[in-house]
Amino acid sequence: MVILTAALVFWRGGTFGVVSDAVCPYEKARVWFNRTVLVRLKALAARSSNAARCAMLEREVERLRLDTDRVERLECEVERLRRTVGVSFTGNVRCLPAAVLSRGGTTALWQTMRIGKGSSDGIRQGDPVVVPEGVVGRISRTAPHSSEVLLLTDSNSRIACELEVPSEGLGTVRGILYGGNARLSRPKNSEKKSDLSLLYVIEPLQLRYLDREFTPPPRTRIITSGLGGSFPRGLTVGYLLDSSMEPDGLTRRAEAVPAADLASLENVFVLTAQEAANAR
Amino acid sequence: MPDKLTVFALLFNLLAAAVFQDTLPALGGAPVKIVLLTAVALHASAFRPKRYAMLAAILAGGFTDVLGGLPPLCTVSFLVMMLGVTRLFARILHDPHLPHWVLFTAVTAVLQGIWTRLWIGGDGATALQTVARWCVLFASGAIAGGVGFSWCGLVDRLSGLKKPVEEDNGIVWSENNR
Repeated sequence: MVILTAALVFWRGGTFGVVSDAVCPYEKARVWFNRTVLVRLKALAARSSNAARCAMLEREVERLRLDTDRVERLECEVERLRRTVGVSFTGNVRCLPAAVLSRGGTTALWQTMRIGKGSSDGIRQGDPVVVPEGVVGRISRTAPHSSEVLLLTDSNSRIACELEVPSEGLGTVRGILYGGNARLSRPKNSEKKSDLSLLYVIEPLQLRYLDREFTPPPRTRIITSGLGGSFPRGLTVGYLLDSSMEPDGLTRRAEAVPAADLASLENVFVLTAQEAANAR
Repeated sequence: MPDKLTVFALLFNLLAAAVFQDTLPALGGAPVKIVLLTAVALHASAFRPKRYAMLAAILAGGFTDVLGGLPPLCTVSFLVMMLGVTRLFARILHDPHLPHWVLFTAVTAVLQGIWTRLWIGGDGATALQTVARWCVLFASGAIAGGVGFSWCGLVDRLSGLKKPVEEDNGIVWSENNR
C-alpha cells in the first residue's frame, strides 16, 4: 500500500498533483452543474411560474426573452473572444482557455486560484495567465489536470513593467510591480492607511523603482516590459493611481490597480509556449 | 463497528469537505475559509477509534496544507495535537451535544489560525486587524462545527455506523412501546 502510494505520488508529480487531481473532477463537475443544469433549472422554474399565470402567448414571450438573453450572451462572448484574438503576443505563444475552479485554496491566505488545465495540457510553471482586460497572474504549481495561479495581487508577485508614456521623447519608464499587501517600507504620508483597513482590504499594487525625474500622470496604463522573461511585452497589467518619492529619495514609486477584475473571473487564458503545445 | 465502512465513510466525508472548503469563497472578504476539514477531523477524533482518528487528522491536515499552499505538516501537526484535546473534551463532558461541538470547533478554528500564522510568519497586521480576524475565524469555526458535525452524524446514521440509542435497561424504546 505504501509502495503504491509512493509510486502514485512520484508519477503524479508530488503530493499537490495527487491531491489536486483527486479534488479536481468534483470541482469540474460543480462548475459544469452550475453552468449547465442549474441555469436550466432556474430557467425552468421561471418558466413554470410564468405559465401558472399566463397563457400560451405569454409563454411565447418568455421563450423569446430567453432567446434574446442567449443572443446577448453570445454577442458578449463573441466580443470578448474578438478582443482576445486582437491581443498581440510576441514569439511562439499559444492561448489556452481554462475554467476557474476555485479561489484561495482551502485557506484563502494567499491570492491564488485553481484552474482546470494542467501539465498534461502543456502548462508549465511560470506561464502567464491573462484575460482580455489584462494580466491575471502566473502559474505557480501544476498538476496533471489542474494548476494553481498566483494572482498579481498576491504579496509574493513581482512583474517587470513599464509605463505607456503618452508623449514622445521621454524614453522608457520601467519598474517592478509588487503585489498588494507586500511588506514594504511605506512612505510617511501613507502610514495611516493600514489603520483604516480592519480586516482584509486588497491594497493597491506598488510599482517601484521608477525614474525619479518623471512624474507619471494618473490613469497611465502599465504594460509588461518583457524583461522578466515570463511575460511577453505589451500586455496590459493595470492603471496608475498616484505616485510619490521613495523614502530614500533615489527612485519613485506608484500605486496601481489591476486592469482585470480578479474577483469575477470565470475563464482565463494561459499563454503557453508553442513547442509545448505542439509536442502534446 | 465495520472497519471498511468506517474508512469509506471517513474518506467520503473528507473528500466532500475538501471540495466544499476549496470551492467556497472566503468568508466575508477576510482571508478565512470555513474550516470544514478541521470539523471532520474533530468529529473523527471524538467518535472514532484512535487509529481512524489519527488517519482523519493526517488526511484532513494534508488536504488543508496541500490545497491551501501551506508548509507541509503545518495543519497536520495541529490536528494531531487536537486529537488528544478533543478526546479529553469528550470524556470530560461525557456526552457533548451539537452546541458543545460548535463552540469547540469555533475555538479550534481560532487556535488553528494562530498556529498557522506562527508557521508562516506574521503579515504586519495591527492589533485591531488581528482581533477582527480571530472573530471571523470564530464565526467560521462555528459554522464549520454546525455543518461538519451534522453532516458527519447524518452520514453515520445513513451508513449504519451509528445505532439508535437504547434505554438504560437495554431495550430500544420502540421495542418497549409496542
